[in-house]
Amino acid sequence: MRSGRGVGEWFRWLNIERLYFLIHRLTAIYLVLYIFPRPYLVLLHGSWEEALKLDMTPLGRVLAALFIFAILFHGINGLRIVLIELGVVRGWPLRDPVKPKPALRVSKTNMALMALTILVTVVGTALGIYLVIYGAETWP
Amino acid sequence: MRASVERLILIVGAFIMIVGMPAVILAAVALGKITIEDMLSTNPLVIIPYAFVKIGWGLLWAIVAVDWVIHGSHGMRRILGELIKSEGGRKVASYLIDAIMVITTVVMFYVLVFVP
Repeated sequence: MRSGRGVGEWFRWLNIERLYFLIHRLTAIYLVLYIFPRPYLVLLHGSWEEALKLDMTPLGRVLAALFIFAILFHGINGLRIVLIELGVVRGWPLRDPVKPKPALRVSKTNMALMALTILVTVVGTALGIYLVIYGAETWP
Repeated sequence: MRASVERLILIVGAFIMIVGMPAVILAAVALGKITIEDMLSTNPLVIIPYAFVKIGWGLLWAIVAVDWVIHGSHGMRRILGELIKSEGGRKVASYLIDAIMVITTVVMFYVLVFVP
């Protein structure tokens, strides 16, 4: 990708790999925006307990649910990207004149990791949202 | 910073988090500091990182959290690098991110280790 082309570039020519990378970037931005202010909030309130009260408001719960989705997708998909970058996950492109396939789409490991990303994200987010809504709000 | 160094920091940071986060949580469960029943019935934000501060594992969690900040900062530099057109602009963004990273790292470490 060439630099300086803007956010619109992320949405062009979307295919399955680019869609995953788009969500990876969006979740990265959300995670930074969610986590980076956290230590300052604790510092501002003087204790973790006080800062936690913000998370128990309706808005705090919605942000927490989004955080769980973001961290699960970003984590599992990030592991896939690292394995691709290190050459652990790789494939050979299918040079078919009618229906060519890029290397990664041929790789069964890559496709399995992509499916795992969705599976873990969906199941983990569902459990996380349940706990964010109904889970205990204090540590025993 | 060279792109290859930044990529290396990103990958190492990602590995520390992917391995470190579950490892710390599993260790707390294995040592009986956090029970599975409590974990599966408590708001995740109460467990991470509040429960770790409460059981006295703030320093351990600080390692993961600081790595989180470093990984996030380098990721942001990459994303901004794609969006900013001029070389000068990218340099300014890079310095700004470095400053945010250093300050946030210190504050994160402080609140996890010294704030009750």
